[in-house]
Amino acid sequence: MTKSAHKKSSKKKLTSEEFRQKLKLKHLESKRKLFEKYPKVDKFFKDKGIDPGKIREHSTKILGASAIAGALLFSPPLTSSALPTPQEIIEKLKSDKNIKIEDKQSLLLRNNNVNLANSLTGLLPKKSRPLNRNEEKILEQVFSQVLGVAARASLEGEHLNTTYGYIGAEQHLRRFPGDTLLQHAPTPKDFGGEGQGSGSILKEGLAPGLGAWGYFAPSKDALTPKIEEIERWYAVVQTLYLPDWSARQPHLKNWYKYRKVLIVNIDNGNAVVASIADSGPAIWTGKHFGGSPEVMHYLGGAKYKKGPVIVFFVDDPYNKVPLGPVEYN
Amino acid sequence: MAETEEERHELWQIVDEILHHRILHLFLDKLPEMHHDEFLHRFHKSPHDENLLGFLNERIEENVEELIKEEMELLTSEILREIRK
Repeated sequence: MTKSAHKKSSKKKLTSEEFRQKLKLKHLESKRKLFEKYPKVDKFFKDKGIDPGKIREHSTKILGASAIAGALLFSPPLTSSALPTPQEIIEKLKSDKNIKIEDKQSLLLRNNNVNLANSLTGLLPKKSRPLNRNEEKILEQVFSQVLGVAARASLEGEHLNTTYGYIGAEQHLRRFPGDTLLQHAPTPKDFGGEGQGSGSILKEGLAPGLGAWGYFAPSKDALTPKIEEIERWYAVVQTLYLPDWSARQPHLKNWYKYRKVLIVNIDNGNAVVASIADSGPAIWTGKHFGGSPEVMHYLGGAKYKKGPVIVFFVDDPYNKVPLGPVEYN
Repeated sequence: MAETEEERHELWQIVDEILHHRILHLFLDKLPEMHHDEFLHRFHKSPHDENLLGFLNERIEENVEELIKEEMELLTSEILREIRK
């Protein structure tokens, strides 16, 4: 064994607790430096009863309060006067001339997607933000009647911090110990397997860590087509920022594991049903959701890395809704 | 490294707090002192407001997004160094 190899193998692996201690020290150091240099900042936040490190929680509270106040005070009149009703949107989609005159199914689908995208653009605020209950109710009806998917912003009392935000490209997740990138190559019958850019599906690579719920299967032998589908069409949501995430364990962790969500690209109307298999992305990325390479490829094409989407839970108590693209006409 | 989701969540939370301290420190270092009070009040009132970046960019000569990116890269390298120690 060479010297460097010996050194490498004898190096003690850092445990989670040791890492936590090191981070805690760094945390104290950053806080001390800030307040030593700017004592008035320390006083300002103390007076307000906030720790600047926990500003995210403070922000969540403000946003939550604003959403409730907005829903109570402003939404009903605004919705009834400015927004079309779900039925109006659906009728518009059905009666569009493009849909009637085009024979080719692909073109029909594309036109329909564009119509849905146009309707969503008119319905949604220009900048992504948490939607109020009325806006979400309209979307639920539109998705149910146009896409044929029973999707809910709130399901069984659970709700994401936002249902309208930016999705970003994620990497493939390791499905079992020893999984490699090449084993994620789509076969001709899979999405991306034939003429749809299998290269772009693999290009994103394999995530170095595991998903929030660990391996999908304990071994390669235990991998089933169903599990493959879950990883192929997986979504990432910010469970780590849910205000009650820590307080309601293990319920929330179990509830979100592989929970189906409907993701709709508001720019082109493409929609996909995916299952939640990881937690993220970090808030500073400016993104609110993540999608597997297949999800992203279907939503926006091979070069799609980030874009505005709606994410709702799929109400599927009998597990009948398949994962993957939602094609509608 | 983290063995459970709770551990992972806690580690993320600590990193998140360090990040906020560091970014706040950075803003105060770069922002002329006469604007500190206004910035703190705006930041406290709506920390999620994207216009805050505009406020900072108007008063700081350098590109704020770039400064944040550099600070993040610095913090990342510091944390990685801690892991490899």
